[in-house]
Amino acid sequence: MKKLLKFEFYKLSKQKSFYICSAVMLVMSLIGILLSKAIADGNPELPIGATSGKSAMLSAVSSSSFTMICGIFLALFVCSDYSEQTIKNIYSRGFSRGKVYIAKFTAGITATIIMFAVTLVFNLAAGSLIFGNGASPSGNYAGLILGQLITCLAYSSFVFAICLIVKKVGSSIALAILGPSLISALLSLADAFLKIENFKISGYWLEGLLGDLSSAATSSSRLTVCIILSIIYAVAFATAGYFINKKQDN
Amino acid sequence: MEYVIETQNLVKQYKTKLAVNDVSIHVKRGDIYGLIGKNGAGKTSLMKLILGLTNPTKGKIKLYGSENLDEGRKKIGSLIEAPGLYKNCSAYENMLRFSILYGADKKEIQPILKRVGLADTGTKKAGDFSLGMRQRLGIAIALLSNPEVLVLDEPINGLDPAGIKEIRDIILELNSEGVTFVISSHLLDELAKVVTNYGIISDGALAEEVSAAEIQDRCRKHVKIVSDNAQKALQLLKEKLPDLTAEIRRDVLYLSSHLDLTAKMNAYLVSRGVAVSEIALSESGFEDYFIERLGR
Repeated sequence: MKKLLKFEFYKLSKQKSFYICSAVMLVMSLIGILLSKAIADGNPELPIGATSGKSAMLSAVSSSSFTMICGIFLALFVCSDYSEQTIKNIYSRGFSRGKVYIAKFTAGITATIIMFAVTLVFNLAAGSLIFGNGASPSGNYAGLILGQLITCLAYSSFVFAICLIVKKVGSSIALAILGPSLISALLSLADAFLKIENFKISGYWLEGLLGDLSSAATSSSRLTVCIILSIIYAVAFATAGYFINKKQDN
Repeated sequence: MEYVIETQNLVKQYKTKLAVNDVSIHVKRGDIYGLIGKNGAGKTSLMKLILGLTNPTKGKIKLYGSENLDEGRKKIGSLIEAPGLYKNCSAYENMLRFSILYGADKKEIQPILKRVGLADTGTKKAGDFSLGMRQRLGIAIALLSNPEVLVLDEPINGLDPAGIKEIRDIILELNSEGVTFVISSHLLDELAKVVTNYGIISDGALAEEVSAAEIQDRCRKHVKIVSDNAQKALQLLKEKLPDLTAEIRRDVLYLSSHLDLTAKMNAYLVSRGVAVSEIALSESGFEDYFIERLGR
């Protein structure tokens, strides 16, 4: 297991897409902050955004660009061994499918955490620089950021499971980008049909959870629900991917 | 006897094809075991089963006498179908990655690359290699961490004559150091230069498992008798010549002794009611032998 982990982390350190995707994420974040600044400077035609370093940090991952870019990177990282057929050199040396899954998952999750942390720190720094020491809305920032991290990890588990089932870069990227949004759209459609008062199914899917976790005004009870659901999603996707992958041939 | 690789009634059924049909092979330590068969016969499928790249439908695999296959596979290096390479990495970088995975010393890399003729590729990416170079790099990766067994699927595919000789020399050198080989190839003459035992695969089934020495024996001069009842013919001849060396293959009787009595045998069989349609003295070529075993 140690050799597998060392191998996966070495590949991660050499993966150009990791650095490129991280850079793209930061550029997108900067554009977001600059747009918010333009609003704050009195341009009513542009969408509302952050107004301080802390609020920039809180909204860093709420847009679909973080989860999309992270998903693209994971698809490239995870599927490369399958598309290049190097997975044969791994399995044929006695490394079980279960252990390979765990090693790749660990490296993928670590990459997600690093991208998350870098994005948040960048947003805090850039937001503080651009907005100065402006007032931030009050809220449980630590809890919200923890919740966001867990939700992002749940997204990554979802993408990871897809990658190891599909094993093709193109299809995995497409599913990683479209999958969560498609599910979100279907759940919204269900809400429109069901019309249940004070309850929206779409609010319990990953996109809904991330949206609530990006607002300082989110109540502590809603925060707790978001964290618990995100943990359930993360564990469910990781477990499903593990067992499906174990049964597959190569 | 403990075999390095042993399969027992191994079966692999895909949705529409029975790729491996009740195959039991036995590879001893120090063998160079050649798997021979037509395209699609099941050679690669069998190798994939042994290496754990696919799961068997039925049957058992034993490595070093044990069913703990993960442990056994740690001692096996392999090259199956197209080599698995990181195309954006150089030969050295490919080797370095797998040396980390296999726990091999980095110092092994350059000598192995030199051995397969890739020491001077520098920063050239594996994706830009020719077919032969990629094949050599695949073999180099299989050699990492000093495996005790090498499973090679068409290892000389894409190589020029000089490259084929180099790989043959590597195989013989490693075998003299104690490495066991399982090799598949379509080039019978090349295989014949190195192999000690053969597994002949036909339509997913093991047609025959035979030593190279035995095949040489069978390919020497013999009398071929085609009749309406090979069993009866053999029985009758054995009554007259108890020390006769003979065998029946695909309803044809082959005699490898008493070759000077061909005319008398023919007359005798006919007098005893065996309809002989062909009786001839011949010497099989190596290829003829396998083509006959594999069927037309």
